[in-house]
Amino acid sequence: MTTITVSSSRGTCPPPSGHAGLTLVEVVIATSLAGLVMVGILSSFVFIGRTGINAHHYVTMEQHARHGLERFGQDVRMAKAIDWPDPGVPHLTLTLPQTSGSGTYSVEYYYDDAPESPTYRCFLRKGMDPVSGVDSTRVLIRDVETFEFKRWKLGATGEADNNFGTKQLQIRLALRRQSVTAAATTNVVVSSRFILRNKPSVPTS
Amino acid sequence: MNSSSSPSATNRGSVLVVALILALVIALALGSYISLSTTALNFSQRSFLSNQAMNVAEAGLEQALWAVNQHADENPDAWSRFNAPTGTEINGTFTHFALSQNATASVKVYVKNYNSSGTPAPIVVAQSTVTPASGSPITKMIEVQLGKRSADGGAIITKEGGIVLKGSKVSIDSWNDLAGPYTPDARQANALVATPSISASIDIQNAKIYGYVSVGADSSTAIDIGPNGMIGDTSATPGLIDEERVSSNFTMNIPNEKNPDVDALSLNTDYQGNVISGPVTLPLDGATAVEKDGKTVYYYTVGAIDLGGSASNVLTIKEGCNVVVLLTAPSGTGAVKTVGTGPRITVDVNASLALYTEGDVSISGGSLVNANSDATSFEVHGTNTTPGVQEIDIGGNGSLTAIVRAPNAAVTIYGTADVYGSIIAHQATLEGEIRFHYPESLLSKGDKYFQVRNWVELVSATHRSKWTTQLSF
Repeated sequence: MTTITVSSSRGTCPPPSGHAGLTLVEVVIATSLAGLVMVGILSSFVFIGRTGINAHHYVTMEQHARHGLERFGQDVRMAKAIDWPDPGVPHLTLTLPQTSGSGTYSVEYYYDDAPESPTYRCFLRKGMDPVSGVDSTRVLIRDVETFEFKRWKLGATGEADNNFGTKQLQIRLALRRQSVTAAATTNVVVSSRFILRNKPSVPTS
Repeated sequence: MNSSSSPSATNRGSVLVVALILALVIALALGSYISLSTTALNFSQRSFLSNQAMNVAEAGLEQALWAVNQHADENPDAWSRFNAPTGTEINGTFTHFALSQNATASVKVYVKNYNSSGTPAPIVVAQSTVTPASGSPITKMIEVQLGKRSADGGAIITKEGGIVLKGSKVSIDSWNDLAGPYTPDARQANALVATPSISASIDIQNAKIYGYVSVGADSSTAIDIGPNGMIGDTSATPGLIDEERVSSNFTMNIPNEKNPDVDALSLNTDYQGNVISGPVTLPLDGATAVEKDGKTVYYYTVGAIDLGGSASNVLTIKEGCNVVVLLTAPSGTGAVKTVGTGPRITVDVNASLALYTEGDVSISGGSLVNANSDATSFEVHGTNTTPGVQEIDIGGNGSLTAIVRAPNAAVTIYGTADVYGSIIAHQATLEGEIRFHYPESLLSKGDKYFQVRNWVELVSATHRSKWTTQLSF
């Protein structure tokens, strides 16, 4: 009778020096540590990314706001008359002198708060462009969450009651930009009071 | 030997690479931040300096306006800060501006028709340049047309006292007198009834105002109006108040009136210290005349004018002559008085009469006969400097054409008449059946000083190029 004993070399041979395997505990600890490090790195990247997006939003909003105020201020300073029929509606018309020659033309400034409109939440200017001379409607500021015109009397006095008493105009608006992952970015803009330099104390024929 | 081939050494190399990649990513992110911040900072600075450039251009305009008005005041140093004139043109450069952020600024000012007395209108072009510490310069350019400041900027304006309109038949309107004489069809609703006083009220009662009403008080409650009173446009009906034509916080600088500067040699003294009470025609033959603003003017000094009694007691201003009478009657005494409809003051065709007095004026209804439609053909200047002391009463009968500038006088217009003109007073009262018509041309004449008529910012290269030659100095 022959007896054959089968033995496992892997079970009996010692592991080569320097190639020892990791125990389960070691693997768990290593994975945990690596996970912690990766979470830290990932959150840092996400934070950097979000902050970058927010910073971009701030800069863009500020540029748009400054550009819009510059254009608005130019027109208001030259305005000979203002027509703001309903103070509850942010839509007014300025009468401006022609840059060359006599005569006047009208420019409308308004805030679009109609959700179905393609220019929803935009502050717009409608009228002849002083540089190109072409009639157009242009978006001056986007992502406007709240908007209001303010009209003031001359000097440091109170708000005007009507077009006749209006000597200065001001706009106040709140901008809000939202992206998918980053928190919303907001910016509140309060303009100077622009004086209507060409507006006479009383109209004439 | 073992150390060079150990796996742990390979792992350390991987960590280094990973750390480098991470550092690179962080560096890129930080670089982006810095770039973004720099862009925002530059944009913000340029925007700030752009506003500064507008202020500098305005400073240049202000310099020119000051010089134009000093020139009107015959100040020999009016243009001392400008270069020597060429014909009717003058220019100058101003650099005395201190800006923040190491920026520098200058403004070039060009004035066309700098020595004009009104027509053609002076035109000022100001071009400012602000040069930042880094970056390209910022330029702003404005073009301004000047025009004569009005001494009669409204139909009725009182300095400190109130305005009272007594009677439902009192009405105030305006018309474009340059287009022709007043007719009911020519009526416009641009008459201004106002007071800059913060304490005075305007009592409209049941009168009709085709125009605007404004008070210096904080609230328009300083305007009292009766049930049939009206403030509105030409289509308005009694009882209607157009709130769009009412305002508060009205401001206006109303200087005191003073006698014109006349040298002794130019003054006719035939009636100096005397009272004109009988028939007199001015100017007398051989009277001394002076040229003033393109017109020949006769200046007289007279004690007082007191016309009564016989219907022949008439003071006549000769056709085509401009007469200025400086009355020396003191405050509180009668300077001009007419009684009844016979004795009168008559201003012939194309003639004019201006009275300067600190005394009282009382002209009865029908005793002022003015053959001219131009309101400036008869002017009463109240020179009294004590508010409310001087009294000026003018009666209307049929038609009255006159301007009253008496910022410290109580002025009353009464009777039944169409009155063409304007009133500046301490306080004013209209009573009876006065239909007051304001000639709108008064808005642009009457004062020797200039103000801004049209203010335009030149933003396109095309519009700016119009003045390239004039500003190349």
